[in-house]
Amino acid sequence: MDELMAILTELRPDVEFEGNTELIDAGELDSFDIVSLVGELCDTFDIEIGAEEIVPENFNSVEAMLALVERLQED
Amino acid sequence: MKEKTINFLKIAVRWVLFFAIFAMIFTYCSDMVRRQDDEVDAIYGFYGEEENTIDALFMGSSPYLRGISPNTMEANGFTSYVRASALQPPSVTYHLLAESLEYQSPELVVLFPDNIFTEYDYVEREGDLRRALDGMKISSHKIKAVSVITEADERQSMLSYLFPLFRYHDRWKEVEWGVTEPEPLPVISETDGNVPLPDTAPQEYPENFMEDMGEALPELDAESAYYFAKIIDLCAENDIEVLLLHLPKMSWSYAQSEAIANFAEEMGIDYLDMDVEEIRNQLNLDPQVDYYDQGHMNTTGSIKISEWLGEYLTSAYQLHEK
Amino acid sequence: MSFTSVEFIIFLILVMMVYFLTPKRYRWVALFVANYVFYYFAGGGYFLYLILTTLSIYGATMVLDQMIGQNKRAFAQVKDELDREQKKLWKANFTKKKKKVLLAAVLFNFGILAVLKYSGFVGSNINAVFSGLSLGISVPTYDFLLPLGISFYTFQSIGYLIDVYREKQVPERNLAKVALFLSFFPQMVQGPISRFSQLAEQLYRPNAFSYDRAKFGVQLMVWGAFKKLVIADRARVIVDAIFGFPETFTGTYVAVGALVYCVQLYGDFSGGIDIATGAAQILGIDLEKNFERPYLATSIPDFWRRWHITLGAWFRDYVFYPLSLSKFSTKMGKKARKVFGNYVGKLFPVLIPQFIIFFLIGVWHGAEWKYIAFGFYNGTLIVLGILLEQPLSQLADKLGIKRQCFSWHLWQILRTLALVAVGKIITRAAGIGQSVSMLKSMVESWDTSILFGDGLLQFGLDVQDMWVLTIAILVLLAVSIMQETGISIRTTLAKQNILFRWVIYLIAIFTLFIFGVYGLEYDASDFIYRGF
Repeated sequence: MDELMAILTELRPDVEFEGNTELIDAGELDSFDIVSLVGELCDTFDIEIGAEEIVPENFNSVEAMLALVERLQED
Repeated sequence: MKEKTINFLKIAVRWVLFFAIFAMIFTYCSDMVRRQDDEVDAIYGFYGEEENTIDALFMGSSPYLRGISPNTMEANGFTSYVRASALQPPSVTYHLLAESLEYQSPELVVLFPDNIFTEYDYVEREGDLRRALDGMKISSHKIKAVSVITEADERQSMLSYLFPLFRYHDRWKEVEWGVTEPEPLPVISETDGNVPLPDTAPQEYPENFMEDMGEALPELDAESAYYFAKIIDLCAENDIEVLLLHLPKMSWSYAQSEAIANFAEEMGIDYLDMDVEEIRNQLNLDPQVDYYDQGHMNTTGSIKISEWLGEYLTSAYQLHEK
Repeated sequence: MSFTSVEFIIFLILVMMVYFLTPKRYRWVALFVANYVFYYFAGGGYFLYLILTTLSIYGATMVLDQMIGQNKRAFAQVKDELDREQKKLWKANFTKKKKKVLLAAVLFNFGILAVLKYSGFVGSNINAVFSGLSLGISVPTYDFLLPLGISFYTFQSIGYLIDVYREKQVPERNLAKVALFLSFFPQMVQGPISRFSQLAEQLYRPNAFSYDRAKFGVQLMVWGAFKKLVIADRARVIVDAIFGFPETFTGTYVAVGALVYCVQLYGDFSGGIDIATGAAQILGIDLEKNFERPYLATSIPDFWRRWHITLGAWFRDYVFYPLSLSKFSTKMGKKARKVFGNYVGKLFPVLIPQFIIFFLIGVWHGAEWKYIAFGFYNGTLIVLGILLEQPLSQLADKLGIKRQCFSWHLWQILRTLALVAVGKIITRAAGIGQSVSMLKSMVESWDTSILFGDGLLQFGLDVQDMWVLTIAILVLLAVSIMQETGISIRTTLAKQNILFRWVIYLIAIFTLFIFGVYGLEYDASDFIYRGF
């Protein structure tokens, strides 16, 4: 969780991540952010995130992203 | 009552009310932007005649509109109406007649024959078509007449003929809203459909006028002949006599007259040509004074020929004596 | 059957009656029939291509479904015995198998689209090269008539196919239902492009008639008709004049033409979308938004998130992410970081795909060199925007420019509008040559005096028409600003008193009737008496 938060805040220091459940829907993270973020996540957690995982449900909140990471780590 | 029903009634009442207000504004706007035209008025004024009082109906194009004066002929004891408009194609004449017969039961229909040779250009002639059609109420006859037009010209639409607002809406720019009063169509025509022309243009009879020069007879246009036949059949079904009447015209000829005479004989109806020498002499027209242009009588001319015509028709046909 | 024709209104009323009177179980069938009836009358019966696409997509999704099911069962049996590396290998192998099916269907369908849309263009250019080299040969070219909606339903079908491929969507097993999803009549004219997960359920379920929802739908359609008939078709007169006579209308006229074209295009496109969305809403179906006040955008990327939204979203989810997240792209990104440093390197996986996307969007518009130029223009703007974002904001900070205030916001909007307008010149001009000369003349012969006096009355619109256009645009602007601040016009209207609502309805209807640009032009001379 902490690693994830660190990546997020470094990527977009101007965005409020805590408790935010509309990061994608409200347009706070755009497609460029997603691409950079995914790159970091893949490197840091040694997972493969394919384009099919880029849906709002997986990235709207920090919790959702964590769940995604954990699920992919198990596969 | 159940709440659902009350709700439904509430909505229904609202719709009716809204529609009523809508219809009023729609009529107001239509009358404001419509193109006013005395020919349209003359076509529409027909509805104001008391039902089944007209003995003779004159149907066709502008020579009738200008040249036939029913008020003049009334002295002979019969009522007539001129339901004609500029360059009216036989297809419109047919449907207009069919509609007219819903309101009147004349003994005689006098039909303008000259345009049986012409192929009608529905695309070019929208303005003239509207002279007749804008004066017709919405009816199955109007719809049929418009169908002929829309088939020939896809730019014109049924909707624009049934509701002239959709044709003339662009004229909003030419109207002084809030200042001018809207002018709805007139209820009645004081002149029984006649719209005379006061001006004069002196004419001269061309050389060899109405002499048999051995020319070939002109061909009848297929569509026009078709509708003429329909008109004749319609009249036959309703026990109405038909007279093809040609009014004085400088560009007329023996050949054209012969072609129509043949057609009339074929169809078993009467034909009277006012340019034939015999009749010309009886009419006593003065080409310097009585013509508006080579094809139309002016006011004095129309009275002259109507006086003659009134007497002729009374003796030739059993027209209702009042 | 255009959206603003009487025929469409009659068709819609008939569909409404049939749909809501059909027993609930079969309502989707009624809709299916309605779609094909519409396609017959509006699309001239070019069913063949729609049917080919439907069948191929159905077939491919059924095959994939079977493959996926088999794979799941096989994997479940062995997964406990595999380690991480072996699992990855299994997954990769299966993906390769799936890809073959995907590729076949994608190539087939995009192939149809490409051939119909672009073969004429490609062919004639090849022939130009051949004749330039004085070779005696030439390839045959045909100018195909594009079937109705092909650009839209092809994308929608491929999106669905990819969702199935990604195992994110369980495919529909009923062929008729798939056909229904790919032929929904409101979408056939101008889109929007929908996703299966968003639209299918709405099409298949029995929607009940809702008076309030129908009211909203009709209101939206009237609004769309207003944008199209009163604004767009009027603006068009100006645009056609300026772009039709570029030698006469130079300098500031070009700017006027570009801006008015922006208005025309928005009015026409979003108006048509509103009519489509309103019609669907009456039937109980919500289509995705395609426009969100695009000219209030503050940057080019923001503009493309507000203009033709569903197309941009489609490219983002099915082209951009796959490209930028691909192994190739991440590898390139790492290399780029080493060569260009951290800043550009991070952006690299994004830059090339973005350029490709916007290039493709440009080309999607049509098969002409000017659309390729438009694609380059867009792509370059996007890339520059991405690259320069940080340096420019740092510069602004250094200069002490405030960026949270209204004046800056306004500047951003105007700047974006200018860039968009230039792009529109490229697409509207007859060819690249004309757009270049028009842009040149705009700079060289700039003369704002034409805006005063009679300069703006030379296009064929008289003073009164210009006033109508201006007021209509102001109304549109007011509505847009209200919507931008979150007000929903239709719900707010519904809350007002009935008298006020009726006044608005009557004004709207009669505005369309009287000020709409439709029917034959009224030319008094046509009506002048012509005796014979």
